[in-house]
Amino acid sequence: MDNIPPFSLLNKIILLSLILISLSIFSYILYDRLRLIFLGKKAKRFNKIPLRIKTLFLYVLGHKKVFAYAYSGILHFFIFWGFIILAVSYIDLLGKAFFLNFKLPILGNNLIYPYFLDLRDFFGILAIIGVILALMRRFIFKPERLENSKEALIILILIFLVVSMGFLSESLRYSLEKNPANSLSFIAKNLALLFNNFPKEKILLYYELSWWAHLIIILGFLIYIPLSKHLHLITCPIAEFFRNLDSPGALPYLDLEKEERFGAELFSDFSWKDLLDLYACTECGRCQENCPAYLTKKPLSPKKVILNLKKELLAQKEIFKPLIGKAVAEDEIWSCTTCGNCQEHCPVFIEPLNKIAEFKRHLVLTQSKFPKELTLCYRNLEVNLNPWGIGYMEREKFVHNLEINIKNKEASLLYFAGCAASFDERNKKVSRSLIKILKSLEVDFTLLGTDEACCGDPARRTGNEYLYQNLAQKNIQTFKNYKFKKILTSCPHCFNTLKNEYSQMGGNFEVIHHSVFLADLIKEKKLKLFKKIPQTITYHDSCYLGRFNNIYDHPRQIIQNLSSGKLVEMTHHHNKSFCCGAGGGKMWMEELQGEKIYIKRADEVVKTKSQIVASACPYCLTMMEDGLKEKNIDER
Amino acid sequence: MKIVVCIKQVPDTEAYIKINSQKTSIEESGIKYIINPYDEFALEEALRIKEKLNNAETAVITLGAPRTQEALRSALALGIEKAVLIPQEDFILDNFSSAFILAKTVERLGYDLILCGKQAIDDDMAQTGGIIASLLNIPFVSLATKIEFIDNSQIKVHREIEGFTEVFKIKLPAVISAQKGLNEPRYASLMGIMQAKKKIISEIKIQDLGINPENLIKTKLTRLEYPSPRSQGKILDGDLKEAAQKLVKFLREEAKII
Amino acid sequence: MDILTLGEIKNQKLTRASLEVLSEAKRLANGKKVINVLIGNNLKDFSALISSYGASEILLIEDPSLGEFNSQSYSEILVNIIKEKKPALFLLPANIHGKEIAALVSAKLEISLISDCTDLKIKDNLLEYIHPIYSGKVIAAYQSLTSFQAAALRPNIFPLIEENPNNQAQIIHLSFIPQDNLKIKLLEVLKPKEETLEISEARIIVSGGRGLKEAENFKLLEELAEVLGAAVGASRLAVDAGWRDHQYQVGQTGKVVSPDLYIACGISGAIQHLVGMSSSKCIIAINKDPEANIFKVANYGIVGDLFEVVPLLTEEFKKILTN
Repeated sequence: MDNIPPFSLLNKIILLSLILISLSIFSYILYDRLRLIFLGKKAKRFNKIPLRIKTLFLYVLGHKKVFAYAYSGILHFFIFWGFIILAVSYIDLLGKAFFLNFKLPILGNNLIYPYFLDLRDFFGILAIIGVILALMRRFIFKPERLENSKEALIILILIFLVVSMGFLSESLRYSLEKNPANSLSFIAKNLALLFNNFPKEKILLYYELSWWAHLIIILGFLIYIPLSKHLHLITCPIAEFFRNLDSPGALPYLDLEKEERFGAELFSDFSWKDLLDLYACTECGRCQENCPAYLTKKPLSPKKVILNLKKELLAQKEIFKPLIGKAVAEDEIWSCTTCGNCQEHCPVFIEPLNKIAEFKRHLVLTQSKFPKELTLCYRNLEVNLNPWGIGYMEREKFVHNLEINIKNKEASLLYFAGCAASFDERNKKVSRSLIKILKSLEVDFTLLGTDEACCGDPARRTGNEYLYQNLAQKNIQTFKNYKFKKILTSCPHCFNTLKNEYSQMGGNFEVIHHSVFLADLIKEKKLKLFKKIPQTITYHDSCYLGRFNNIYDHPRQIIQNLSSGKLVEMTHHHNKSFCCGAGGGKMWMEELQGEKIYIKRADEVVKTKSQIVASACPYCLTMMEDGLKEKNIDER
Repeated sequence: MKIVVCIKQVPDTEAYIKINSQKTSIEESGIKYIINPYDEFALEEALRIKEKLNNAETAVITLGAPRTQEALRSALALGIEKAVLIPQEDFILDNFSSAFILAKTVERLGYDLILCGKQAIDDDMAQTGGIIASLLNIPFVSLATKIEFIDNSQIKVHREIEGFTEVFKIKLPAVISAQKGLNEPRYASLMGIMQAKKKIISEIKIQDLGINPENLIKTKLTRLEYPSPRSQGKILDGDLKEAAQKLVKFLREEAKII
Repeated sequence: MDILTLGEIKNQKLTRASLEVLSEAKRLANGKKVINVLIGNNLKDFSALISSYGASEILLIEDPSLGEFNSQSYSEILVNIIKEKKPALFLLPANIHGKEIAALVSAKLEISLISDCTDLKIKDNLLEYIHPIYSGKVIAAYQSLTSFQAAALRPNIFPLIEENPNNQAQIIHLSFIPQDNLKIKLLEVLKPKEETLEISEARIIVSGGRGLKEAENFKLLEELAEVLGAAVGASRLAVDAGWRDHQYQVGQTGKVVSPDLYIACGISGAIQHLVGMSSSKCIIAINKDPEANIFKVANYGIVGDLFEVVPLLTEEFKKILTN
């Protein structure tokens, strides 16, 4: 370091003041934003700590979900890791400015330090590549999910400047130094050759200028982080750490006895995690790109919901004002089919679904404001325990002449048929077939008959928690009078509700969906299929079976055993499956805005040119059949 | 403005109606009860009037078994302020005596406007509103599809009749019976349900009204029976012209609709 | 003792329901007097027709103020007549006006009233009134405990008797002093709007589904509807296809209807449609698929191509309705 004079006291004071000032600004802005999170309600997110730590490694450091989109995954990975390494090198940089002999712990060791510098350069290059990729994506490829945001451009330019200014300053320094052992960094070493012919004084001047410029850019960047969407640098790891580790299929429980406010009207009605989510959003738009409501031109985009809420939170601060009608519109809320694609594809585990659910609860329970078709559905559920309002005494009629011992409290398997399979002619074919299989295998099973009530899903998904809990309570009471070991369901909505939600009310039962049940029987060779059908089949994943319960393979196994033809996939399948349009209680509402979701899905079926579309959900079945009729394809 | 709504609790429209062994009434077990659907329009109209006028009070009354408390509770959950139950003892009442008891109760509560459904879907008699009006000597319009206030003592009532609309001007107090189309009944919010749980349903005993209902009964139900089983759907195919003729004949002569 | 009936005039014509009431009165009178009351303005023209249905006395109450229906003055007039004539039985049509008056008059006189009777029987010298309850799921028989009694008869049920042009009823004009302090007044009668008939209150609905294949073909249904005075409805699929506006959608998420007659054309009968119309009094299904669900709820079905069946039906209805 012969040619580089050490920092003067004045310089040190200036440097220290700059750092202190920018850190204070940064901290203040950060505090001003993050403190609002603590205005939220309690949430149980401190359990399962080892799993949460695992999340940090896998999803934060490992980018597991970010990589679901390869291009974005790679560029983000480059920038992310570039930044981590550079951040460490800045500590080194500042340390050296204050103390001549400063050495980073461990990394500063003479043996390791040169490799660290190499690594720093390497990741610096990666970060620049990342920035270029990102710029290309934003300005050349322009995916719809990304909006043209000034913030993003500023940030990318800042990153580019930080890294390149670092390189410049390092190479100038290198060209001033004569001791190669001190500077192993391969970028700086090579760049330094450019300055070989420059006079020493000039290089020194440039070096000092570039050093300060580099520092100011770093500090400016620091301040810009909490001001922009890059707050996610800080909030995402926290939000991911506190992610929902319960079943994604369960909506949060609402204690109607204890709570005085139902659902969310104000920010204070949300949990702190919900508020943290708003700051964690990276605006990547993956939720929007997979949202059936958005894709059929309805007013909903989960990304917009989150961003508008964030904007409103920053505007309202602690003076809470009603959100519905301001930050979020009623028709946005009612456009949601609760398909779960938004949270499935969010790289940082944001839960837009819960927020929409809380808004629905507020509208229904407090304001009694909801699409008017739901009134009929609710009344039907209240009186006749099914959404169609068919007399509750009719529920067991579908088993006529099948000779089953219904209401047998001693049976080991309880077949919870559900409303569709009990009342709808088309779905009765499914339930009757299932019963015939059970009988032929001499399974010891029973049905609840007229004691069965709707599982409550249509009420719960539309925000009527009170009605849901009444129905759930009724079923749980009935279940407890029986001795069964397992509940078999044919409807994914019943399955999800019984399996994931009844436990919130003390109903812990083992529940199995018929697709898993049958696939297992086939595997165990208990169920043999004698004749294979020759047609090609495409399988439509039900949201509540797939995304919410991770059952993708069992139904496909059954199909492969059933057909000698091919199993073809639609454009959207597995966890990207496109909703049929009936979930979230939409079955009981009109779809008046935008295109029809079920027709869009039917288009995908038609494209596969398969002869049969298979589904494991009664709602999907109805919607797909309607969709294909609409396409003038009657029998397939 | 005192608005009194008379409601009745009736078996759900989908209920299995089973006649008892004496053929004098129906089996109650297994039946789910609801507020008579036409009475819901009356309740809703009362609430809408209350929301429009700033000095209106609403009350709901019913005559019936203890289970009818549920119906009153539901009405309170919707936002009706006061509920009165007139417990019905064992004896069987007819339309006149029931309406008489209701009229006396309304008289005691005070009234400017009495609302009820056009008919109860159990006995389908469509008499109560008219009898109450007649006993109280006030005007009556049935099957209202629109009620407008002219001022505090006069209203305009619309009623659909064979495609036409009759518009009446009526001096209050009056009895108006509600028809489908008058409004769209609201759904109780949980807030409303919670508040209704805390409200008191007052009781007025028939004896306290100074009535001996047995002297008021004018009509006796003598027998219940099932209608001759609805002929199973007749499905015709083959010659379509013949089928069309048969169908038209069926509608004219058997179903008596055309 | 005598029977008093109330005649009803609409569009300057005596309604068929009034004649049905007269016919039933004549059947029950068994030699006793049938007194028919007519209230209105310019009533002379109807006496001959009433006579021919066997009335022995016709009471006419005429006044320009009575030209329009008024439940208060009509019922006051009737109360006075009944008090004076002391008939054993008062019969009138169970339509909107009839039921309104029946309740007002019977209450004032404190006599029994059975509304919407579908049959009257004499049993052990007592009259038994038959009236369907629980939307027709049960038939109830009533007896009156008062010596004067009243009943409103459901239209289109009671057969007309043969006219006897030789019968000469005594025509009595009753004086009437108009009240100027009426509590109720008919202000106006609004004509039906020109628009397509609303489905929720229609008595007859002709409804179409996917089977219609395109929007144009709804014309067929409109033609049939016009003959029947019916409203045109549609299934969800027909609405989703854009053939019909959403306000005409019948079903769970559209309108729930219960007309007297529902004619389903090319509708397969998905559950969400069925719950919207299955409480219709009479359901007719036309579908080419004999397995279609709609036939399960239909009272009458025709398996066949609706493009053939509907025009045939229109023609047949035209024949009988224009007669």
